Amino acid sequence: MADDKDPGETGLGQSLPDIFTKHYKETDKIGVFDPLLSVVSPPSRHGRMSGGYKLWPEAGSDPAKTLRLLSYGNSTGVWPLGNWSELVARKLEAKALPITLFHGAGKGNTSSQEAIRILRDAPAIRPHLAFSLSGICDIGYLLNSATQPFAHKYTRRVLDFVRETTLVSDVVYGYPDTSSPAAAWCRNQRLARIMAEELGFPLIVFLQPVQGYGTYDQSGDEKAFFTEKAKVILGAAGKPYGDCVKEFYDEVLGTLARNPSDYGHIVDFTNVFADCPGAYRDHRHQNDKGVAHLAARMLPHIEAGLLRAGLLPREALARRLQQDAAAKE
Amino acid sequence: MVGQETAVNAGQVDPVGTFDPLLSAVAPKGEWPFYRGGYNLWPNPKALETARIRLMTMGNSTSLWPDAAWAIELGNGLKSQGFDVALAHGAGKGNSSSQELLRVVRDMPALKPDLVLSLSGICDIGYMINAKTYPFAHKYIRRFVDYALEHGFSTAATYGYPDLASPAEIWCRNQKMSRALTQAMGVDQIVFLQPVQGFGSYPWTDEEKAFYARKAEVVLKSINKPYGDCVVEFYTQVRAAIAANPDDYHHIIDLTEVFADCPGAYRDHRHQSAKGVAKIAQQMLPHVVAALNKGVQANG
Repeated sequence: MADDKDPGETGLGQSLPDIFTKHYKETDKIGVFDPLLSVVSPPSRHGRMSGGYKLWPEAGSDPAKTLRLLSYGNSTGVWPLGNWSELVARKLEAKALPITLFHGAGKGNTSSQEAIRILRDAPAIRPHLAFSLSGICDIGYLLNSATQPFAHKYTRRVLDFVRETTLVSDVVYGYPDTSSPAAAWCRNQRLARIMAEELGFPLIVFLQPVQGYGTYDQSGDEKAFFTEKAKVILGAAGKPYGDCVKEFYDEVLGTLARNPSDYGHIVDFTNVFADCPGAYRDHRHQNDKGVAHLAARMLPHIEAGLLRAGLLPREALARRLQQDAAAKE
Repeated sequence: MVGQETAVNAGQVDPVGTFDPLLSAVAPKGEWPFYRGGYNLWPNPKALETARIRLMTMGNSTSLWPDAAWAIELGNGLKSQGFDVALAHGAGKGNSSSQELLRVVRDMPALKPDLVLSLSGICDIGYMINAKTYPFAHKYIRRFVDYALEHGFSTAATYGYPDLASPAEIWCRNQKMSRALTQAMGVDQIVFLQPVQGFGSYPWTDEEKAFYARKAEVVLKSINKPYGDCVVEFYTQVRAAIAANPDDYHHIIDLTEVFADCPGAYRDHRHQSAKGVAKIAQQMLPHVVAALNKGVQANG
């Protein structure tokens, strides 16, 4: 093993505005920063936020007296456009279940950030069930660095700025990890499930659909658009985007098939749009139709999870909430 | 404010030094020649690859090399008993159980140790280091985030969903979660609940007593209680939780009485002298040997 020297030098002698200009990107602003997660979704017009989470319903419900659901995701889960979890919550509420949904998402959030959400936030939220839509952000070291799967690009950008000032003398990102993107994703999802089990709630991870993998009836325009995107070389992986997508999903699905007991909490959604043309607004992000389709397909899995956990039907939930309240007292 | 120098980074009376965005301050490369990703490698990187037993050790400022190298003393003790051992050691000033848990999630899979060890406790008391209601928001991370905000690099900051748990509850929960993860990865773990002046038996000198009495009166702002009360409250609650739930916490070894027969074990009210460090390593050794022997038996 070679001595670990992180790239970059302390730029003492440069003026602070120069350092700022060097690292700040007007076209890709960081916005709301969570030091452990990188970027998280801003409040925008949502009226009920806490600690980076949007709470639904906005009108307010006492979480202690409701079914508490935790959902999280990447840019395909940022509200209002990627509101599949809100749609799931609405469908459950329509069945006369009292609900509080806690939703956290951030652009480029990967399985590493998801694992941290379970580790850090789930103990405080105390969900009855958690679910996520995950996958694409882990491909080809697109966002996290090649040997440091928890070093997100936005966090690195802030650190690149700070390391050139006098605030810190050096920056490290942990012991180098040579796992493939798929291996890191699978491991993080397994660790997240272990933590969820330890905290006493079920976790369901939906392996997200994306153009370039699985069955989807692409239109001519979509096909042409994806073909262009698929050629783009991902710098950290040194491979075209399209190849990284295929390699990641092939390896993940292979791992899931070989180790079903470790990954029983993962639901493969890569073919979910086989019967839903026009589901995307670009090669990765769903449009309203696609988001509604995702929510409709998630619902039976979530209901089954709630049923297995003794949280359905409504009477069972009422009993559990009474037990929770009594235990708290 | 964009890019302007402000008072934030004037905190050089307590410099951050080497910074890890998940863990806050971590040990610098310093004089130890083998360093990788914030970890000191002992005895050297090649041994870490080839040794039959690989340890991951971690702690706070009471574990920083070279002054508090209990991990090296422990490694030497294991070698003297015939174990072919190497270790990766990660420590940072003020690192609490939250940072330890993050090390397990992030670094353990890459390090692939046979056994994870930590010396832990004091940094969790009274929200001294991590923010009240945000047990993963270390004070140096907050300083870094404040700096980015003041300079307009980000527009707002958040530290996760507010957590109302007490310091002792958080410590116990983090250690329990950590054990669940290590177990699932097939790795053994021992957490040593660290000794500190103000709790447990210790034959202190009059000078130590007077020094501690002054420190004990200092009010910790986040919790608005004197330091001495926070120490007693934290350790009392932790020990009660362990006693009430032995199955959950059998990986924790209580070292709070370890200096009952070891005067001169401290160089201040929290940090051990060379004598104290040696005593800690000596007390750890039989527990580590037992765990390694158990692992050998389990693996045939």
